[in-house]
Amino acid sequence: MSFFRDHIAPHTRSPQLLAMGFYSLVALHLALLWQQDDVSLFALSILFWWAVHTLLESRSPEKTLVIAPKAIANFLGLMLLTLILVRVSVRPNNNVLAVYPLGVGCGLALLAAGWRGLRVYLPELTILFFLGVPKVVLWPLIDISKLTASFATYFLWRGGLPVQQFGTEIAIADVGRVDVNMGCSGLEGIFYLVGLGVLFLITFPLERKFQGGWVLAIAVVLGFLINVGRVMVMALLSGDFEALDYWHVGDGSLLFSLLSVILFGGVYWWFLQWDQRYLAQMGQNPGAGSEEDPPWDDFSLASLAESGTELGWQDGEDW
Amino acid sequence: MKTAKSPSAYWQRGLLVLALVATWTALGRVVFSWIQETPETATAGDEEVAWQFPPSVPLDQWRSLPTDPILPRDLTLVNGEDRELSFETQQDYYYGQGDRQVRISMRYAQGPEPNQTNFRFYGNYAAQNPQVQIRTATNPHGDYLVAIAPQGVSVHACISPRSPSAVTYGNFMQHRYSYDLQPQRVLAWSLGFGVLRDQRCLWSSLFLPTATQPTPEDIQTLETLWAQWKPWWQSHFPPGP
Repeated sequence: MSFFRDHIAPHTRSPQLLAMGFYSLVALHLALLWQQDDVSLFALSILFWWAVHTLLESRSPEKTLVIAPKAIANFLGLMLLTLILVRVSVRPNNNVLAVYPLGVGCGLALLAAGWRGLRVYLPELTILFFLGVPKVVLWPLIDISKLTASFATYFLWRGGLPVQQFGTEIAIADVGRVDVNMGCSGLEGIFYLVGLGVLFLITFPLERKFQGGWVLAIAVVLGFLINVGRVMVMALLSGDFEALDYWHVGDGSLLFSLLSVILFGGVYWWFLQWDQRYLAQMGQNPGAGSEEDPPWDDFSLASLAESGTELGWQDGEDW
Repeated sequence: MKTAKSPSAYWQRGLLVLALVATWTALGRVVFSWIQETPETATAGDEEVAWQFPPSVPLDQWRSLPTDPILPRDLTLVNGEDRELSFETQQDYYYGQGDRQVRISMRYAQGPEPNQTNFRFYGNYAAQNPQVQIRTATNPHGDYLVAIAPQGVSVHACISPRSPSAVTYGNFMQHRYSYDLQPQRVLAWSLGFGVLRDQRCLWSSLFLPTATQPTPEDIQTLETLWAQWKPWWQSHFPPGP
């Protein structure tokens, strides 16, 4: 916990308190998720909290801010924490627990470093944002199930099956029909991989920041296509309820998310290798890559956050 | 700007202690509830009394009929009997005006799941039943579907407590964001009351049977009735979660 004392909140003279607050709030989150029986969010949360912890620990002293406590920001941070604690104590549910990490992160950042805390801890807050907020806020607004059904129908048709599509329904003659509902449209898997992609990009940053755009695009496409595959399997099994159940809500459905995570992890590993090779080449031939640097290379969140840190570093004014 | 010695550092520390104590209290509560093994939702469910539809609804220029004058129950889109849908409760109302009769089916659903399925049914119905002519119409109270078939004309929509009616899930959800996120509701929600996106819905199907292809007057009659029907329910909505 010494990093809190040395790097994060030297001015508060209570870094231990801040550290204890942080880990207590993490513990509360995990305990509530366990109580809610939300296994997938529980597992994801462990990964994301661990990443935040690592990021906090790896903050170098040179990039540490020393800011005076700001009364209004500190008070707002406390209010935010209070509201969240009241909400999860009275009536916790999956949606509240999905936005809890971001709320708690903002509250602690405001308490620790005032308004600037929100900018200084942007990498951490970005990770916490992608842990659950897109799923809760965006998921109900976007319905891609028709697109999923179209892709699945097309692939099945290319496979030579007598398949027909009615809106979101896929019907295979003599087998049965399935309706792609919003829960199966693949959006959840896409958010899952995008969140993972952001986490990778921030914790294991790529040297060429613009590659981040490709990583996130691949996350979207991969999440979508793997779900199309899942829908195809279910359409083929639509006559067999037991098998359908296994692949729909049983252990079979977990295999698909496992597959997507493994594939995406492999893709990112490949990006990292590629990055390394690029760096090695640059070492041999310095300046060769400079014209390749696109003007929009600060696309990636990691670089965005980094520039924020440096900006905040320069003066002690509040904003 | 180092103010480590300023008094504000002391009250900042005070705030931190406060936040920490609150977190531990909440954590203790969770652990305690494990030991007790009383799920909090169970007690809330026991107190709930299922809401019931009123036996009759007053309508201008229409007389209420005690029994269903319309047989058989045609038009799947109207009666929705082949759907495996979970409604909390439902009620049919019958009205007469001159020689016209109307059956109104009201079904109450809440939460994303049943509502998604219902909107989905609307969306897929047109693709599977080309003989039924379906269009979306709009009045000041929102959108509604008009389905025209040789057996009659019907009007369908989902009535929400504080927004226009909707016929697509996308539209319904947009209303949740633009009408439900009011400051006082957000505050109440953060204190544990209610939900942010109020997904209660009264599924209304109004059916006017005809002997031949419906005339424009038939359609007009039903749409006028709908314009009167929808606002009444907004002020008589089932109590929220």
